Formats: sequence, C-alpha cells, structure tokens
Amino acid sequence: MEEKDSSRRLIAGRPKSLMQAKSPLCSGCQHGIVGRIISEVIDELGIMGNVVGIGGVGCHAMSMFVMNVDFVQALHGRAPAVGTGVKRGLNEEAVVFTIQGDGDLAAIGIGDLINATVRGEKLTTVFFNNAGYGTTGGQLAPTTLIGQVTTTTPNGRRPEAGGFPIHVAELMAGLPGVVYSARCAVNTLAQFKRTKKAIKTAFQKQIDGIGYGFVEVLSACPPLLNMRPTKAREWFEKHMLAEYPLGEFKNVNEREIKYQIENN
Amino acid sequence: MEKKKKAIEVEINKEFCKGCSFCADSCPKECLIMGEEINSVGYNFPVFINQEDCTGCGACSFLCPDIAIEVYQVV
Repeated sequence: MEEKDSSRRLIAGRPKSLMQAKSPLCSGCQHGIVGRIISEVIDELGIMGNVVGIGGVGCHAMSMFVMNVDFVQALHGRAPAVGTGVKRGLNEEAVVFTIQGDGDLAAIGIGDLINATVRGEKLTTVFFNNAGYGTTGGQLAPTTLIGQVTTTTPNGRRPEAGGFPIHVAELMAGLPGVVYSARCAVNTLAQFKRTKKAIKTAFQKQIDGIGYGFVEVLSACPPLLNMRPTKAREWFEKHMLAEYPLGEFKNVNEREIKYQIENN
Repeated sequence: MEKKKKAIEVEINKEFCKGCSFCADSCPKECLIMGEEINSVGYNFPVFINQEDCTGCGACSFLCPDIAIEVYQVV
C-alpha cells in the first residue's frame, strides 16, 4: 500500500493487485473480503508478476474479474488438476493458487482435490465455505449444516437423506502431502488479520518448495440464507462457528515420510 | 501534558458501496452510520460522523467487501 500524497499516510486501502473496479458480487457477500486478503498477500510477498490463479466455477471465482494477476479458469472442480499442470509445466517458477467454493471443491471436485493433495503438489488452495451453492440458486452443499434450510432441503438437512457436513480442513491435515491446513473467518477485524496470516503462510509453504497449503475461509451467503447482510452475519456467528471450529490444523516444514522400504 | 492525536480521514466511495453495513457494524467507536442518501444504483451508503473518536483501526475498510472505504492518517 503506497502513500497518495505526503500530507497523509494510507492506513487501509485497495491493494495493487486488485483492480479499481466494482465487485460483481451480492451485497454482504464476504468473498470480496477474502479476495482482498489474497491481493494484499500477493502484494506483500512481491509475487504479482509471477503468480497464476486457477479459478473454479461459482461466486468465489468472481475474484478472477477484479484481480490484476494472471488467471486460468478450470472446469467445475478441476482447479487442483489444472493447477498441477500449470505448476509442473512452468517448472515451479510460478506461484500457483486455486480459489474454490463448496460445490467446486467439496462436491464435484473432491476427487481432484484428494488426488492433488495425495501427490503433495506445491500448490495453495483457498476454499470459500459458505455452506451452500450460491451461484446456482441456494441448494444443499456437502458443507451445509444439519437442519439448515436450502432450496433442496426445504425442511432442513437431515442426515438420513442428505448426510453430514464435511470438514475439509481437518481432512486435509491428515494427508502427508499437505503441510499447512487452517480454517478462518472474516467476520471481525481480528479474524481478518488471522485469515491474512494463514493465507500468507500457505503461500510461503509453496514459495519455500515445501508442499500443499490449504486455507478454508468461512463466510455467510445472504441470498442463500434468505437474510439481509447483518442478519446473515449473526446467523454465521451463531451457527457456522459452532459447526466449523477455527484454527490451524497442521503447520509443518517438511512432508513426513512415515515408512519407507530400504534396499528392496 | 495531553498528547494531541493525529486526525484520521475516512473516505467513502459511495458508487462502490452495496449497503451491507459491515463498516458501521464493526466500528468499535460507532463513527459510521448508514445514511439516508442512496447512490446511483439504489444502495444506502455510510456517512463518517465522528472523526474525533476514530482510532484509525481500519476495520471499516478491511471488512468492506467492495473496498469502498479508504482510511488515511494525517501526518
């Protein structure tokens, strides 16, 4: 962030990697906050010139249209696979990150995510979890809470019919190829700062050539919940944080090899 | 001896605002309120009403999904 003129100092403003453009998202959508955090991290790490973002399909991917960095759009859920191709194809010179949502990452793309993380690719993923499918009309997602009303669960999600919410950050922490896994939020200034630290750490793991960095960011989707932004934030603080605990689940500096056959 | 606090300037880009009120809700000193005026697309945007108590924490800017707020400290 730079000074505009010498009579005053900028405390908080638009990062360089974010265009001076109107955000196409809904009023009260917190994806814009996460996009801004990613841009600030890119600015601070000085990688604006050699970062490549892989956008999935969904509202989370709107950041593609307002970020001043190179992006590739993948098919629905295939961002980790496309990211693998870009990273290995460029001989690891670029910093490659994926931005994915509930359906993209936890439903249609869960296979690609698991395969990329099992391989321990040197990628960074930011997972936008708002407990539903926003873009397509507010349907049930793997991350929807039990009892939550969506367009495909008008009486609330029931385990017998719709299963249980998936906790992706904890799942990632259990894989040797993943060296960083955290879950964050952006509902208060303190959480904003923690999210920025987590995303910066995840990017640094890739820059240092260690392994896969995964950050899950929780948010509330006002249209999905059928609530105004302030009410959606209250719902978020009451329910989302109760279901999905915040924190760092894994932070290691090398990929652990538990057992290896010697001289086979 | 009382130390004089440096003034904070909060600039609001009303055309970028989508009226979500996260800024007004998260200001610890209640320096922002959602105004009566609407922008060209119909959203009520915030008004900075209390410069004296503003601590320059930047919460209003950081939590704005549209980055419609910039916070400056006068030097």
